[in-house]
Amino acid sequence: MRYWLIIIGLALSSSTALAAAPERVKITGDNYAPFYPDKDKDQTLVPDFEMDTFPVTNSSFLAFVKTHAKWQRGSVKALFADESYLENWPAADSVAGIENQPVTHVSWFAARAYCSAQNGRLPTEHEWEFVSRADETRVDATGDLAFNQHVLSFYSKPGGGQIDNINQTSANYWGLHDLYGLVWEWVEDFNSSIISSDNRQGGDKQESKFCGGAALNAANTREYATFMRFAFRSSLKSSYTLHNLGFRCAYDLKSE
Amino acid sequence: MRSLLPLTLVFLLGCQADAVTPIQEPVVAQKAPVQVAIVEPTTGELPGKSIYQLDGSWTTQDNKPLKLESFRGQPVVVAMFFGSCRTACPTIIADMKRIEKAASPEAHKNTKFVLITFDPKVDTPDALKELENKFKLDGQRWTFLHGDAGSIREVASVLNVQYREVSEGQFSHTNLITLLDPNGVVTTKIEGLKMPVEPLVAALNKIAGDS
Amino acid sequence: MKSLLSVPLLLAVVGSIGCQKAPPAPAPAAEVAVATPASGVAVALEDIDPATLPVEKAVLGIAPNAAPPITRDHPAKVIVEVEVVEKSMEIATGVNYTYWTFGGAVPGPMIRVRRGDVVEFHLKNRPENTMPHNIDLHAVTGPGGGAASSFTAPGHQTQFSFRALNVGTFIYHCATAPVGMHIANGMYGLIVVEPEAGLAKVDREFYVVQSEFYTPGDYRAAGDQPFDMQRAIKEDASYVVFNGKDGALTGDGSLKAKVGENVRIFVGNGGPNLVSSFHLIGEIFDTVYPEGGSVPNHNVQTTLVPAGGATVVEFKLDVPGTFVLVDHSIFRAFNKGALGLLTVEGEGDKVVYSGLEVDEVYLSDSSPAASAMQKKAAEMDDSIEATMLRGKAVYQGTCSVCHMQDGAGMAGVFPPLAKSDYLMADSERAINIVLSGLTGPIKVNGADFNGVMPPLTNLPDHEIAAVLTYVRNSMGNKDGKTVKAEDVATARAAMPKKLDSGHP
Repeated sequence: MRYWLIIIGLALSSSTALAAAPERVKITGDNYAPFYPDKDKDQTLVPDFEMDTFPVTNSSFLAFVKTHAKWQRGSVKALFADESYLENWPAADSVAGIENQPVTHVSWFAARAYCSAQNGRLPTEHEWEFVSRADETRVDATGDLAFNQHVLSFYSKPGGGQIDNINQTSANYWGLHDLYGLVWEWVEDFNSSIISSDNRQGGDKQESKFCGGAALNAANTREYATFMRFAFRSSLKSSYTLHNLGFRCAYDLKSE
Repeated sequence: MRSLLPLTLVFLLGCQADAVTPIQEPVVAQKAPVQVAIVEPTTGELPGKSIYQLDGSWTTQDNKPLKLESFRGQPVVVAMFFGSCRTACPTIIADMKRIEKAASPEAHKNTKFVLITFDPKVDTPDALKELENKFKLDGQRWTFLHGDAGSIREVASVLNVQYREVSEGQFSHTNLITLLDPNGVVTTKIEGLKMPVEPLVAALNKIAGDS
Repeated sequence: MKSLLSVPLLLAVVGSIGCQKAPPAPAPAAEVAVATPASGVAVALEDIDPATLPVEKAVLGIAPNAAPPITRDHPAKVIVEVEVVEKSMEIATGVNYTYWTFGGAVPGPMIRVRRGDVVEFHLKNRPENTMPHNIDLHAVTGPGGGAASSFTAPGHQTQFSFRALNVGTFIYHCATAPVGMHIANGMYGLIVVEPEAGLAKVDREFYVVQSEFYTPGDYRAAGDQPFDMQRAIKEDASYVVFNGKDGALTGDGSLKAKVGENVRIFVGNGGPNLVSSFHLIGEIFDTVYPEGGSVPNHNVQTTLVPAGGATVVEFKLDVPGTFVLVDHSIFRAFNKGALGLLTVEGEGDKVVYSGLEVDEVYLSDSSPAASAMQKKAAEMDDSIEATMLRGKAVYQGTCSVCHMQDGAGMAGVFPPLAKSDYLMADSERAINIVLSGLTGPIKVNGADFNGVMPPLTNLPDHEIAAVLTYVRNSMGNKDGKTVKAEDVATARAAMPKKLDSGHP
């Protein structure tokens, strides 16, 4: 597709590794034990899908807004993005100097619209969490304390500095880069991080706020990094645009 | 049964007991001023914050296709729910009926009450029609909406409703009743169940009087 | 109400911590009443419409300074604005840690209100921050102590209000999941709710919060140190400190007061895990308000401060000198940093306080890992400037207890190191005194001293070299050279064997 050619063209000028990597990779789904499991089962099936190798860059997003005027800075409606939408761009139609940084200051609506334009969608929380468990060699490295500490140290870095270009970390098991260390990423069901106490235990007031009997409890409270992602997502609204929040797209496999 | 995270449980119960304090601070806070809605014209371009800008396609309990924008022009009281829920959701509908009952004659005549399901698989338009009958709702005033997963996620996000399917056909969700002005802009909301409806009714009457 | 995006798990966890402040019983009628200035007639709090209250902006206290006392005789609506700042700062000399802070410092600002005040709280999360945050004030009566209503994404702000119903000194903290980590990274402070009649007037007030930090490297291990989840879960702190960093209350940061003054310290404990045995060496607290509550206790030596709790201590200063704030769970004081100084000036009896007790404990094993890291740090840069910096840290942790911060010592007992002819006359002798101690009469700068210095054999060679380099090139001394670790090693090797065992 056209946009990918643009990306690859830009990538060639800055990073050959980038050009060498495929733009998206196939993820072979599996049953996995989510951080917040379903009430009646420990495992949830993540079907096969494809996912962008890197977070979406400013230059890719610029190509999108050029053909989708509704999503240009200055044109977007308040319902769909707050006032800091794309505010880090030097101009509404320029990403000079930040071409290969992940796009940030994008709302959930904008991220969805972008992915939709690529015939894709935002990944679900389950999909994102499933692939983020991998380190370079293992599908699931979360049992490894060193991996957890490694991820945690990414999240502990003070923010505020210039965001690095994409392709900062080597590919994980699936061939995905930069899941950690660059930016937070939107997921389709970001507003599903509803994590309640068990209301059946007594007449607590929470029952009036959340549908009764719907309890969620973390499977492993030691996964602090995962905990932090859920907390982060639950602080968001769909119009929010944050300096450190970007996204990448996922794609359903063509039915065979 | 899964072992439950003690943090979330044990202490919470203690807290709730403590919440019975002699002085009810929140009562004062609820004297929040009725938001005087400055209603913009209900024709032409929608206000930037109007949720009627959402483009999702919906189907009513009468199997009619619908866009949210078609509600433009009158106040709307909207909530999200799912039909298989036996605890919170009937209560939400009862709360909305309390609003319907308490509304001024003017508001009573003009206001639409909208219920959007989280569960398009089970809550088909036909199933929603059954709910309308079961709860003895006036189909002129009450609309049930069935939509696709993406449209539901969108509308939930702008209403600040969080929800999650925690097992097949069972959803955990925030209970919110939201008042939209005639342009689909969120005016006020009630959080939780069996809460006082007066502040929302006051705002509704005000809007209904204006429009 | 403002809680648009409530997060149930947070609510639950938050609520858990918020609970502890709840009063066991309703206040007696007399306490529920508030005198209004106009009529003097007691009005129940619930009858006061917040909209009628005068509005003022809270004056916050930046540690170690307490917020100023409330002088009003009537309730007010108090606006409190706090900004959350995530930033890297020194936790010890040469050691950086990424703190999450209320207001850019640890502890966060001290908030001070009067019972019956309505507090309008604004929480601002800086746009460049990475995390969402919120606040649970233990002074709040309501689910989560405000946490759900203040849950704020980066680049956003929230507002909620509460009425201060209970008198006391309360901790506040961030309660965003994972709560422990947000607290461990520095997000806590104190809010004081004064009784209607105010607190008794004192001459000086301070604001001190103890807390601990968990890093992969041990105490003072150099470099950037991230949060260590495993050590936090094991409650194996690398640092236990006052006011957020090693040495915050020593050196230039020492608390200062005068003989004859009445002093009050608002003491908080942010935790996240450890209970403090708060003690002031050489003083007895005349009055303590245990756990920050209303019932005073008197004549207290050491008072417990729970994690997520507070205490208020009051004492009159009768003698001059340096008094040492410690967590009397004493290894924390000398091996993890829980040590601060209160310097008291003025005339008074020359009383020697129990400094030697402190010395003995400090002589216990320093962690081999810490030594290894220190040694590594030492090898990185052997310039005189870098060596002095490391030596200063050792000095403040070990030597300053007797020789004083400025090296002036104490007449007749602890000889001065500042401008010291005895120190400068012989560097080899100085090494041997540190290694072997020194007992009996000596003459320094023409004055006689007769005291006991215990051997400090447990300090590693490079630390002894560094601290001697420091004292021989500061405090008015100028040697111009570093003392070499090898020379210390040589001297140590030459020591009689029996002394080598030193103190336990």
